Amino acid sequence: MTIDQDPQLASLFENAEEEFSDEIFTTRVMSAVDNRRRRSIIGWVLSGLLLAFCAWFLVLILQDAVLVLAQILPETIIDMDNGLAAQLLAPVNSVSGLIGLGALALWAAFKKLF
Amino acid sequence: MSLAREQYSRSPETLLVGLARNGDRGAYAELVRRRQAWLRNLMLRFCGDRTLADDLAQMAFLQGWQNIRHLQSRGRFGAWLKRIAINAWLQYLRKKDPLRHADEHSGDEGAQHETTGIGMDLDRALATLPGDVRMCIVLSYYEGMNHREISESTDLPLGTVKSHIRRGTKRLRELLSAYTTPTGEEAIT
Repeated sequence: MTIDQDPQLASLFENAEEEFSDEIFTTRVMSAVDNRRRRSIIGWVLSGLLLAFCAWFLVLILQDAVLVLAQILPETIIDMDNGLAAQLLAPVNSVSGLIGLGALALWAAFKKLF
Repeated sequence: MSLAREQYSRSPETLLVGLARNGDRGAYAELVRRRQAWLRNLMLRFCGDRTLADDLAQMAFLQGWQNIRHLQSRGRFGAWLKRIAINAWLQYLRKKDPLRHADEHSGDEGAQHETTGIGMDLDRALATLPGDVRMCIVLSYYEGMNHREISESTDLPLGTVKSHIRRGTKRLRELLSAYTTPTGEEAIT
């Protein structure tokens, strides 16, 4: 009993304590524990399968995208016959060069505005 | 009784906690067996309904099993479990808010279990108190916790805990006057 307790009420609480049978309750708790564990294992397995499926699905899409990009990016924009001019302008005379220049221009504009 | 269970029943609680932390189901079952009466009584005093008390105690034990790996000190299993039980009760109160307010006004229908005598009268009296007040009273009288400990366990301000206990004690004394005497002598036989 703590110092600020009413002794009569404290005694009432002591006397009101009840008996509980332990076995049924313990079995119930442990079967709930097992159910939870089973559910969590099933959850992990399903998540793993879903993840594997997504990865497989995405890999196919990514592979296709990489192939398309690999074909498009080196494409020249203007066909040039002159060998020297073609070599000098080669870094910017392609889809990748154009995208790079576009990105640089956007970045410069963004810096200027903000 | 199987041999393993016999060994568990002879083992100290700290060892069982250590084993349970490593996923030993049998060790945790023994911990449940040892702590169930205390926790179910605590929950019964909180809610006044034996079935609900068992459900809440089960929920607390389940949460205990799920989080026992995070228990820092093996010797503090009881206090840690009590904290989980308090949180389970607070969570229940928040979910069942209308019921909580109904408790404040009704009173007689709170104690639904089939025990008789002091236990039933006490639960009936406790049921007239609002959830927070009842919890503070139970933690003080049943668990013997002081105001500061209750405040820390329930996250209620210290002043609120003090006023809850003062208010709850006054109300319980009124309702349980048949068991108490004005002079302070106990009337319980």
